[in-house]
Amino acid sequence: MGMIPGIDASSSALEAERTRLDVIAGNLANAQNTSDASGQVYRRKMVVFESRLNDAIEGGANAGSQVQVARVMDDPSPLPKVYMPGNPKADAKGMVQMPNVDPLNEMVDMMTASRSYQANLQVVSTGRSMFEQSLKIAE
Amino acid sequence: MNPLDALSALTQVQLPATGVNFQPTGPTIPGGAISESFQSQLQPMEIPPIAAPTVSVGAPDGPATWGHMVQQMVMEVNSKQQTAAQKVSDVLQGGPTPVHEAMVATEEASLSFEFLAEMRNKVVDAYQQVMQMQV
Amino acid sequence: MPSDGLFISPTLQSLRLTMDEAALRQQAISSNIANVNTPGYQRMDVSPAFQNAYSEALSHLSEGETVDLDDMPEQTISTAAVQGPARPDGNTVQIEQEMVGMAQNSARYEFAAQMLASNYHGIKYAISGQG
Repeated sequence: MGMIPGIDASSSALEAERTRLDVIAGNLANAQNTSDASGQVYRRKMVVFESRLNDAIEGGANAGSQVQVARVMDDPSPLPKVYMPGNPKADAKGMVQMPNVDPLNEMVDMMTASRSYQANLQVVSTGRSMFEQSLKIAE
Repeated sequence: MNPLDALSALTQVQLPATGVNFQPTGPTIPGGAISESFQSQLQPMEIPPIAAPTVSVGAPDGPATWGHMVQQMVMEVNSKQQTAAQKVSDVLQGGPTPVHEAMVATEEASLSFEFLAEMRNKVVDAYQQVMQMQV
Repeated sequence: MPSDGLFISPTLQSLRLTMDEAALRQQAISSNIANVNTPGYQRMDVSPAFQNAYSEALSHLSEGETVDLDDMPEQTISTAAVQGPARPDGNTVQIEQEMVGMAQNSARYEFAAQMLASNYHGIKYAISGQG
């Protein structure tokens, strides 16, 4: 179980949410990027979480679940086209493919990730407080 | 046996005024061995067992004696301390033992040991009282 | 065993069991909050076997009988029932409930720890007149 109960799950969640925030930041930064490293239009990235049972050895008989980022994938939704005749990437009709990043969507995701991050910090802090109280048993 | 019973049990450790026959069968009673001459001057008499509710120790074919009880308690305290040490070590290695279990085991081992030590002190005090008696 | 009698009391046993149960629940809550955004995750709680044995033991202990602590089932957590529907992605964790549950749970645990400490102080005082 470790000294602080449930700390494995919480620390895995902190890491996963941080990854998600990084991805969101990347999306926001590239919201107008029509040409990434390979010359393609930037596609919104999203993370997929999955749970992973605690190792039987680490957690003893207790199989809590950690969380991890299964993969970072491209959002398959269609890329919007915007009318920008002056843009070097404009096609015959003057339409340019833009990244499928909606800043409002990203902000909502960011708030969810941030709230979850803080909740997990709270779990660690509570667990730590429980541990400290248990020390009092033996003075 | 709740704490108050333990206290009353301790105060009942008294040696009969007419004589005493120490028979250390386990760990030596602190204070040194009793001299032969002293022992021969006294009338042999068994030390009555302590009237504590949970005591049920003793040689299989004889009454419970003080020596047997002390021996049993020392072994038990030892095993409690070993359990506690093993649980603490398990916690330190990140094993499945919960922290509070290790703390409880540690505290119980420590209290058992103190109990044993206190009983020894009472016996030693009583012995010294007897030694100071005018014969 | 003579000095074991010091520790076989209903109060001490109920406090120890409470701490066992609360520590288990904290593990479950931690797992739930960690997986609040995981699609398809089902929330977990103390396993019913242990929960029932715990309730039964507590009711015995509150009547002044002692129980055999070695008789308790294994300490595990498992998927738990939920009130209310799952979210669209199949996740059944409601974070507000988990946070409130965690506050209550940790309060119980810390209360039990404190009471155990003061009980042991009492025993120590009875033995040696100090501490």
